[in-house]
Amino acid sequence: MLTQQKQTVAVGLSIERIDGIPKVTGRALYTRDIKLPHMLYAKIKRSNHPFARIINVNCSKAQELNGVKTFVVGKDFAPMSNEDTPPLARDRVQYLGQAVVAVAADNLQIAERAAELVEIEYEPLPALLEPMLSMSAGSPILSPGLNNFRNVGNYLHIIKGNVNDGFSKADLIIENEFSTVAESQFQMEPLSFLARPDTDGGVTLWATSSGTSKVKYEVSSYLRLDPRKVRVLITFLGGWFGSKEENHLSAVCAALALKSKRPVKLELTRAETMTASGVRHPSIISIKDGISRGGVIIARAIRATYDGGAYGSLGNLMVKNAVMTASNVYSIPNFEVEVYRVYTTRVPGSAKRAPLGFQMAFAIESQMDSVARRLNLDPVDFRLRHVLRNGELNSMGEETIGMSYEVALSKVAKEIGWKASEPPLEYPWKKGKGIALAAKWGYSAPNQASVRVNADGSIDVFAPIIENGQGTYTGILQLVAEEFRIPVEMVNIASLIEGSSSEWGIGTGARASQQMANLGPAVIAACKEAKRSIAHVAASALGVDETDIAVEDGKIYSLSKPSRQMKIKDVFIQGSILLGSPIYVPPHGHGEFRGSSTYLKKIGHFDPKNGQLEDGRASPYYITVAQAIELAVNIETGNVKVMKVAAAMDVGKAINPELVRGQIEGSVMMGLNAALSEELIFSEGSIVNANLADYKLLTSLDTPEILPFILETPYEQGPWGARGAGEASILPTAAAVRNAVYDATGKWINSLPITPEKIVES
Amino acid sequence: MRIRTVVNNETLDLEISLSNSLLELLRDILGLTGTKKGCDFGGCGMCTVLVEDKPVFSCITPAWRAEGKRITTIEGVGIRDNHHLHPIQAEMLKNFAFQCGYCTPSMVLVAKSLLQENPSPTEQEVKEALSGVICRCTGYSRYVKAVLAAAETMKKGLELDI
Repeated sequence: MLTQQKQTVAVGLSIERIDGIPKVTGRALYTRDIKLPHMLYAKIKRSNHPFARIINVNCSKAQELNGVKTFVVGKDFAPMSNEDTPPLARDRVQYLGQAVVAVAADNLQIAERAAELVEIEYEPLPALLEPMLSMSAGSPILSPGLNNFRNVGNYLHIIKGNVNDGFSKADLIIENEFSTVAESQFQMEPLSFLARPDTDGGVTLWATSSGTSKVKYEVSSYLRLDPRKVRVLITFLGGWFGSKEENHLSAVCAALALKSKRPVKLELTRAETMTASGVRHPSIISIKDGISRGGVIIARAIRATYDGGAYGSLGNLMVKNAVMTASNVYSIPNFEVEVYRVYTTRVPGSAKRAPLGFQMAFAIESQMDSVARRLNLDPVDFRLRHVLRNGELNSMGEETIGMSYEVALSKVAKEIGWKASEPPLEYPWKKGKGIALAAKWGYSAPNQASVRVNADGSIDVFAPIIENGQGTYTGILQLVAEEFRIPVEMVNIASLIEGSSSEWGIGTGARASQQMANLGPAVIAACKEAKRSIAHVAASALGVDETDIAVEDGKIYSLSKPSRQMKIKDVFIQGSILLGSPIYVPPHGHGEFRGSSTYLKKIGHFDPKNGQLEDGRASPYYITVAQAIELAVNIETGNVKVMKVAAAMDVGKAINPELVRGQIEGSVMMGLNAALSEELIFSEGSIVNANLADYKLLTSLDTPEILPFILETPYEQGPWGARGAGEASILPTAAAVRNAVYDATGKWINSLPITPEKIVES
Repeated sequence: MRIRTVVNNETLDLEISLSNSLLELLRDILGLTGTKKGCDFGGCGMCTVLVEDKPVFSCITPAWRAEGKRITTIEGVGIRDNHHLHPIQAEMLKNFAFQCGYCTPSMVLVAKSLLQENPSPTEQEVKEALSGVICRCTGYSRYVKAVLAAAETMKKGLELDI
């Protein structure tokens, strides 16, 4: 895939977004914008206890309201394991805000009133609001969990060398504890669902979700429906950032529609979107380093505890992300990392941009600076002393391939003027610079795509692409245009108009930045197969073997005898005349000129004894990211003003450089928000600041200068060498801020967010 | 109650209820879904429209306030075909200003109001004007760049052909 003899026609060019005109004109369709005739509106009754047994549910008062049509309760759904949030609670609620009853009515006001009138009798149980409490002996069991650990949903332990040996040989031990908090993804489009009961007894769902297949199969199991009868359409998403991973609400909406035999719309409010669906996992991460006289870390032990909340919500799978983040970047001979994800009676921890890895990168990159400064060493030099070289094994026993730690770190250091001496700012402002480095994992999951070649040489692409803003419609389109070497205008992404359909094949969607790296190869393979189907028909006409045929730029020609060529239209025949317009069809007996393909990359498994990889790799690839930040701290008030961020990311190949830069800038901004401001504040299990007045986000007035730098060390299996670009650049930001605040003030803040109060008080 | 209002240059006589917000009037009664719903409390800016050329949060503006007023939504901006856009829209497209697009209609309208009042804004003035609209995808800087570029184009009296 990496041969690049000819100049590209689409790949590597910053072509305009194909969803650009619909978006600037307000015509892009989001789930919230869709209405159906005779539609009902739904509202969910939620738990006001963090942990309680449900004694009785009484809908009779609500039922009496004029316009109320249907209720569904927990028992209307198949029971699932604790890995999945139940669509509605069955016997007990395990977090405050958990959905218990759903009602559908003629309009939203009636539905809201009905939900208020639903009476639920609870027997409160002692809440387990902290992981340590939840793990301790005697706590009630929230989930069967893992055998040896009470209420632990997942646990991974990686061992390399012997840390105790390392600590005993060390001349200095430095240990720190870091903590992070729950955050909202705060995508601008609140969660929305629309379900239409279909004539075959099935349902069509429009859902704000990250992927079509996940909704189809999860909803079919929740509702005990044949998956063939659950059809899913995902339109443009008004942001994502991990917020749309959970599909229990799709199931609630579908159940109401099937029961009422009417279309049903379920729109969550902003507060519900913030408090009742998965949040970023709060964490406590301790790191102990043993350092030799020469200033080298010879042993490191990390213990991380993530508050998983009440259910799995994919979070248990993400424990691996924490391990992969911890095990990369640095070469440390004796190394151990233990990661626990613990059930508590809080809103589930789920995905948010670089889930679990973000917390780990904050801790490690903070520790690196704390150690370097303690040793009086430059943080950049200290990191360079420890980075993994390509070819070396990381702490999981996985070969380091295609990483660019030195280049990335040096680049951002240079751009920020790392060692430059600059005049001090006027009192009370003090300037500081901070740096951080990280590696973001990739992901392996199945993806299918198909393409059809039309007589005019245009290509239709049927791939379950999710456009959450990243520009994936455009990027995939560029791959197709390149494969056929045609202008981008000749490629039709079917998803653009109606969204992506679950009926086009398996799609993992917008998870773990996987679309370009996993769906991209499927799309390219589908194009190649479509070209073979053309070559098969063209071979006899051109009098050459079909393997000797190329399809490019609207032409079909022989590679060995280039003068033998024909137009794509020439493999079609004229079918009939419809009101004067001819239509062209493949010759009798041939199907469409079409190709389809599946892409699934195999990855390895951890040895349960020591976490070393038994076969292959933990991740298909890693992405190098480095950031350097310049900021000013007002030492009187603790206010922080970020001035400049230099951010490098190695994407392997930027299919569309401007879109990649956009991902870097957006990730940095979200990282700054998390570093300085974002925190969902809990009081007795209840989130008390679920609104924008109390949950502050940076605005255009707080924007620093962000300098994005794309590095291109190819990922051999990626399309044109590309890796995923969506999340990686959030990893280093919070630590770089923390390290810069130290540079300015001499204060180490080891807990996020780094608020003015913490700076002034510490 | 009945009101007479002008939405995107069209005079309309509408039946509304006293409790309707302007956002409900636009999205639910008129089906103009380019105006988005984000929070319902005037906090996020997704529902911004122009009333007499000034930006308001339509989710916290009562619908009856539209009586006798000119309302502009995103559907009323630019020439509605794919070849001609308002310079603000064209520059946002060209500068890769947006990603998910959910805040884009509000950004376009806020910028339009700004440039109408102040054809040569400074960078800081653009940042201030856009600060009522939250964008979660980007770092805002491309929006700012696009608005400054559009100001230049508009001063030249040109309509960008894209």
